Amino acid sequence: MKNALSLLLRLGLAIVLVWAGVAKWRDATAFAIDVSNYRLFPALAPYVAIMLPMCEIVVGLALIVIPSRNRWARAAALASALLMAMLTFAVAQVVARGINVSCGCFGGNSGPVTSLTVVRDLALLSGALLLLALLPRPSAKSPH
Amino acid sequence: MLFLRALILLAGGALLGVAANAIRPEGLRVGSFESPTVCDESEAAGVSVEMEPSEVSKLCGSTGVVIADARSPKSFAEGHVADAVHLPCDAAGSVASQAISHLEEAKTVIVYGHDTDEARPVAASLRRRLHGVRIAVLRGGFPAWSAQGLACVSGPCDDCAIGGHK
Repeated sequence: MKNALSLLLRLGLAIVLVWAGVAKWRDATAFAIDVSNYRLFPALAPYVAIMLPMCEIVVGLALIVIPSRNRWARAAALASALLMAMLTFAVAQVVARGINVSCGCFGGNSGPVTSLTVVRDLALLSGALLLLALLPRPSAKSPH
Repeated sequence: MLFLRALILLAGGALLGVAANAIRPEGLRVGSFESPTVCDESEAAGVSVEMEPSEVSKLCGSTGVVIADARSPKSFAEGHVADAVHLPCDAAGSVASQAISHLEEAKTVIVYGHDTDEARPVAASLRRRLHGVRIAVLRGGFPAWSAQGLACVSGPCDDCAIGGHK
């Protein structure tokens, strides 16, 4: 049961991350504009636009390809949680400040940021943290 | 160690992104990227600039002015502002990505719908994504335009949609 839930979370998070990363990567300029419209360090928008999609793709692929007993599997789960925490903060501050902005979460046509976007990101963050808790810790005989 | 490994994964992705962008022909030019400038606080607050049909009719045919129809393809085919292009957009008013590139060379884009309210979210979507282009809404939408007897035409959408516009 635990293993099935872990596998389900890995697959779900991986699909969402890779899908989001590829969609953003396909039109990096549009994504950079979306990021700058979040009004959260707009000067960093072009850097975020080229780095974040590939981070999502790498972490998403890591969740799928790394065996669950490998210590890097927990690292991938933690990395996905860090990504989701950052994205949740970004959309939550937009909602809190009342900024009307296109989400850019899944490319150009992902609709505006609403409180539902925050709820969705919180759900994904919870999934990543649950996955981190479910994945087996490295055995004691492993070197530090 | 766990946190360090997670950071290595994220840093690896970030570096890969920088490298892939550098070798990508249509890559984002980080150094020359300019954020959309907000010149008007009312626009920043999402308030649309509105134009009367008579004002818009004077701009018809002017260089750099594009009149965009945000209604359904069916409504567009039944009748639209002369020379208007059809703007494919979703229910939330977000304009399709392929349409954006065709509007980037315009100086002014005037959007209309069945009424003023229908065009506002479309105008807001365009304003966020088109840097340096003035976006306005036709007050009263298409009914106000046709009620004043201004030029309108009908015909299949395919000939006039942005994707196929010559």
